[in-house]
Amino acid sequence: MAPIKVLALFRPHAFLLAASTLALTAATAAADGAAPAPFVIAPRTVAAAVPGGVLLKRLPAGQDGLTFRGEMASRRFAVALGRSEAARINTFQVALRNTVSLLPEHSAITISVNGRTLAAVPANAADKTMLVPIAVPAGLLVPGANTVQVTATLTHRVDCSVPATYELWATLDPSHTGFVVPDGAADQIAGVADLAAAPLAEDGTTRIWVRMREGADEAEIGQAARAVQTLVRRAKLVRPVVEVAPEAGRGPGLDLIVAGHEPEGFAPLAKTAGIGVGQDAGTGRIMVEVDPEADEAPRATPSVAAGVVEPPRDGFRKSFAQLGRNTEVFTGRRYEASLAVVLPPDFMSTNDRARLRLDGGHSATLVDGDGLALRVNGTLVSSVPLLARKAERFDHREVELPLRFFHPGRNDVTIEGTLSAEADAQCKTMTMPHEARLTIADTSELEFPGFAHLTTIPQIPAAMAARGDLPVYLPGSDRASMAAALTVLANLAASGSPAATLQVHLGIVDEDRPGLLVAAADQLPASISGALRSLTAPVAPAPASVDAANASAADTDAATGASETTPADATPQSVAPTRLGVLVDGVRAGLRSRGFFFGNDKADLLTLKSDDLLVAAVTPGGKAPRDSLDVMPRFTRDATHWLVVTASSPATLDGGLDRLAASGRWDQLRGEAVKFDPTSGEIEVRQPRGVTYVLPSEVVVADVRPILGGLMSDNILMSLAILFVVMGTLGVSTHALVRRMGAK
Amino acid sequence: MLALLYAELPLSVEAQLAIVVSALGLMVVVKALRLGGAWRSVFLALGTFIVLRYIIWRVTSTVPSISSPLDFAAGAMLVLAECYCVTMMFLSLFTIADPIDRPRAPLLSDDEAPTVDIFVPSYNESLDIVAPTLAAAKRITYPAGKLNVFLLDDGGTDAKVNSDDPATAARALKRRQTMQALCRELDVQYLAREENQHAKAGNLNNGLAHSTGDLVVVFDADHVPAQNFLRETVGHFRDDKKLFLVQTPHFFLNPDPIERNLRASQMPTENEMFYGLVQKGLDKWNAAFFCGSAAVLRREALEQVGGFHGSSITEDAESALELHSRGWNSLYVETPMVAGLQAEKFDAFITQRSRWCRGMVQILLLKTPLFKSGLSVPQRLSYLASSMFWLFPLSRMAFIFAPMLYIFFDLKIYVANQQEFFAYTVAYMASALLIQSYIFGRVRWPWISDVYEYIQSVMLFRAVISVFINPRNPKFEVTAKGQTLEHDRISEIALPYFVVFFMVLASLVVLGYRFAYEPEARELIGVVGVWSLLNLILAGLGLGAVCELRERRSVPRVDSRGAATLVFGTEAIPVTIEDMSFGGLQVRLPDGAQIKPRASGTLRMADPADPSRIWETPVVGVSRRTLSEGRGVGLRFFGVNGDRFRIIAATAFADVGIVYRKRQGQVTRTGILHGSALMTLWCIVQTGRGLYYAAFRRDGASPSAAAPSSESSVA
Repeated sequence: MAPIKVLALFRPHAFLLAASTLALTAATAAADGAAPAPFVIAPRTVAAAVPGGVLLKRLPAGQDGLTFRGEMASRRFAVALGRSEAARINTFQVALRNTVSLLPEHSAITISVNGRTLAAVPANAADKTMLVPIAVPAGLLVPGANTVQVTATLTHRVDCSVPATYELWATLDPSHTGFVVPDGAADQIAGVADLAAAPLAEDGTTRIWVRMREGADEAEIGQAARAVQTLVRRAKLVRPVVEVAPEAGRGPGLDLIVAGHEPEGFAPLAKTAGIGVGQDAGTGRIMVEVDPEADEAPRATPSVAAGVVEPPRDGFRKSFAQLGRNTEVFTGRRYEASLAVVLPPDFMSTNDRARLRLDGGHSATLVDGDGLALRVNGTLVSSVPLLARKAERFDHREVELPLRFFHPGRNDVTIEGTLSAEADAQCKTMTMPHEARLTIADTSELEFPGFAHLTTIPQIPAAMAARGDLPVYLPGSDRASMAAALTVLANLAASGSPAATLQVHLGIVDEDRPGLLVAAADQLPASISGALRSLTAPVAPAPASVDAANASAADTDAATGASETTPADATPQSVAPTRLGVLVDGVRAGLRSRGFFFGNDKADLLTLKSDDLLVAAVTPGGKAPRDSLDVMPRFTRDATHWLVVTASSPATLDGGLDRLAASGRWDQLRGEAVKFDPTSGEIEVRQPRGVTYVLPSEVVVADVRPILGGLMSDNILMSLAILFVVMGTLGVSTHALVRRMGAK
Repeated sequence: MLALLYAELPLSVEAQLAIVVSALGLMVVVKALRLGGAWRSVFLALGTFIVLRYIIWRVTSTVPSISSPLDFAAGAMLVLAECYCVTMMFLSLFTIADPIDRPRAPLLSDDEAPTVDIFVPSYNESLDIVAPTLAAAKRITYPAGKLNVFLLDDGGTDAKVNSDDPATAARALKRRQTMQALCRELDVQYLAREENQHAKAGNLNNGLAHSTGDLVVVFDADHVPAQNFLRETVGHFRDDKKLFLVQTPHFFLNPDPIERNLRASQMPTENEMFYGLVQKGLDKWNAAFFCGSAAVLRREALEQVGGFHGSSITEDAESALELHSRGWNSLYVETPMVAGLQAEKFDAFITQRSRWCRGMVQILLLKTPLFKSGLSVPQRLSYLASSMFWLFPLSRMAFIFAPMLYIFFDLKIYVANQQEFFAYTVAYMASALLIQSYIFGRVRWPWISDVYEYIQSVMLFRAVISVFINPRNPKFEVTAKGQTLEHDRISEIALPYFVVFFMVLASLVVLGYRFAYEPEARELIGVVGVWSLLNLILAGLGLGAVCELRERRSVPRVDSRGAATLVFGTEAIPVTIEDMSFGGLQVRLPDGAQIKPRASGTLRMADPADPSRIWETPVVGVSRRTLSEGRGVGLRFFGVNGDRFRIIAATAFADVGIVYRKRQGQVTRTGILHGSALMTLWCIVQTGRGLYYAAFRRDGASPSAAAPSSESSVA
């Protein structure tokens, strides 16, 4: 069974600019125990652009990944450097732009490299992008992966309200942020291990140019596909985007050649286990020759920056420190932190719960109504009221996260804190104390229980986890179609999907053999189109007004980069609600307000715009999804089903995939279908309204009870039917038995 | 098995909610439509399914981690208490799975009728109490020469008569002589032992040793039998040679102290549930047991096990257990045929319950009915239910004090969130209430079991613990009967009830403070608050129970009908008897007749069974009354003679059924909602009364006085 993976989205351990005012209350100080980070003098800023021709080792992130929202946000990136680069790089360049709402004196971007804080750059770049060179001490960088942590601490200029925190943002230009490689310091790519250090594109992606002619046949495409996956796995490439062209590539990236098809001018440098690295003698571009029949590459693991931990399959209990989260001392009004829990495709939610045990505390400055809200995939599952006007210490304060809100794939657990203080009303931003309001210590723990394993379909994670033969269907061998399919396959390999035997099919879709289908909407077979139509709805008019809560949720989702559809997000075709429907909805809403979540409220239709990308898992034969009123669950022995990647046109599909890879949200593909908006970079997830259970090939005794419990919980009508049948039978038989026994 | 598997599945809280709401809905329908037969079993299956799911969830999901030993210990204690309650619920439901009604006993010819010895054991009861029982026993309809009545007097043993203490010796001798005189008068055989070893069991065995009847009937000294007692019971022994016991209900003329002090005369009496339902259920499983009185037993069976057993202080149940384990059968006749007295004072009531409690716990520990060889499985379960029931003080005290562990010491005793509490705990409570109302509604108001259990638990907790420490230690204590209370007063043993009440009250105050200042814990505080509020209601009712109301009549008057003549000097006035008690009567005078105040005369009455036999007893007029049909006068008996008690037996207790049915006619039934509202109202009233008595009636309380005994007036 696949282990649980937990991603921790890291936050800074200290708010550097306010370090001198971090006098915590007795409660928080006692809980903290971490020494404040040293105060760092802001470096000299340069308003001019970096001179042309300067080589940057960019962060593996696009614009989305380098945009920081709210009062405090932090992300960690892994940058691969060569030996010479590690030795000679002495500057990290930040290209900063921020909203005009920021108060520069209390807003900064802090850069840490390999755990050492280098600088806190005041956020004072409202007018234009500000370039800031930051000195990198000698000996800090190492050959191979280096960790860069970017922490944004932002304060509003004039408004101290919680809603105003949603206006705060700062962004780093991905094309001009990174390590500055001195002239002549760039390492020569000498082998597969060096490929990860190849320069990234401006959007943080790894561009792979596959040298292949338009109109290639199935065999050629198949070879190229296997070669791309092998390369990505072996070289541990991140955010790969594949272009297809017979000629040499352009810009950052590398060219891929299928072994035996070496072009003229290819100068091999080294070859290891079926992968040869060389250079184009004419252009100097890196060229990689991959033997598609090379030994199967090991399964890739998600990037280091994601902070992956692999706990045992029967659950785990780890401190925040073990999850890569440092102690956080927060001085703002809206605290936000998140953990990402990646669950295997055969995860089955049961009536168990994960638990957060929070250590830390809060100050005495808080007011009534302040508290922490815990969300799982956007659903509020728990809350922790915070005492007003009295400091409190958290000593393993337990917060439950019911497993029923978790799904296969990535799950976002967010902690949102509302931390208003009386001083916020006056909002004297320059003179008011910026003291710590909340501390979350790194001794806090996340406990995730063991869980039952039963695959359900349709689920994107299950479809992506296909093993054995994987048919790959393309509408044709035009460059766009081939590039789109190869980009999908490359990202599957990068995200750790198991290696499968790829069988490329052009033009014809065998509906009896589900696989990967990458095509524009008008190129899809009718059955698949029909199935997708049942998942989507026309764009609904925007609501006239959005209340603060919705705005808050929307912004929060934007910050985490993921949102699950809610009734407000997607409106199915307008059908006048019946009285019964209104009643049922009312009851559901009432129960929901009491913490009872009946039905799958994440199963509303996705609203698609013309430029959106849609990724969906579709059951074989395009069967209609189970309705929640179906009494009996469906079972199947075969977990294979369609993974469909589509958009309104081939160009939209190609562009959408580029943006998806650049956004770094490939690991957020989950549920039955995901809509990706290339414009905003946001995704919407639809969970299946009803699932088909895949009978396991072998029964694990310990799983039987939770699986049965899960089945009954998922199928409440069936549970009720069984209840009445069993109790009726028991009652009647008991009655008959008792009548026969004893005295009459 | 499928139901069990289903019950233990870990379901989402939504599925759990859907299931319990559906199950409770169907249960409500079955109850509202008063469906019976197989529906009764379906109802119970649904109800017990909810209970089972709850207790499995409690055990598996809500006990604090052992890594917090104090929390774990407190939580485990509470879970154990709940497990006990659930176990008792299942045992009780098994016991009353199919209560049966026995047909009337076959009528025996005079030749078929076995010889019968009636034993009336007495320890310290007054002559006023004992004499009507003896007189009524003598009047029981049975073939001449086949019925003997014995007074087994442990108040006049040789040891007491020869006591080193002169006062004790004089009292015992006087009692012996008085009782012997009474027995001669009533033609009853008097038996006294050398010493009262093995308490009541030893006394009965002494009776066995001095008698020879085929059957033995036992009546407590205050249990006046009806004339038809043997007619309704003895016939059963003819058809079943292995029958060792026919038990009949105990019907009490007076309310128990809780019933009286709470002014709850309209609710079914506490023993109605046992004699109206439980014994009938036990009878189904051949497990109806001897209740110490109002029963017929086969001598042969008793002799086989060495007579009545006395290793516990509940010799009745213990003897029945031994006989059942040897293959003898028992039977229960639901017709009430004895009229008895309950303890009048609260402390006497507690003394009685303490004896039952300790005795049954002794049986549980010493006889281990679940593993007793010779018993059938249903009998094992039935005896287990009967004996284990008396562990309720442990669980009840756990429920009272567990919330305080959280409130005062912040111990985590119950790990659950609000949704789970609603889907499991509230559903469990609703199910338990519905089951109680559906099954026991005819014989028990909602919450009354909780009230009685709480009130007894405060005092019985130590008793149970003492038996666990030394199971062979308990001594038999006789329940005082026929007492009066001249004034309203607080019971001598009221202090613990006030202590518990104020502790619960204080815990609620602290809880209110915590609710205001611990916002993160409000969910849990709300749950604990509801729980503590229930405890406060019980504690408030407890205050009412220990604040005793005046009761000047030791024996209540019983509606009676009979023709008699009052003779004053030479004047004879025909009168109709309206009602009667052990101490006096009320008669209706004919038009124009008058009796002078304080006039002494003679009540003359013909034996209804033999009109040629005339009874006479002295009376004195004490009051005049206006009746709906003419004028009445209250008379008091004075002096001791056999005719007085014969008149009482023939007039007031010839047919107990009449009295019983009239009493039943006053009883009302109530539903869950009304019953709950009533309890709340009672709590307010009784708490106020309790606090008032505590403030103003402590010094004015007069000690209770035993009913004046006629012994003192015997020359």
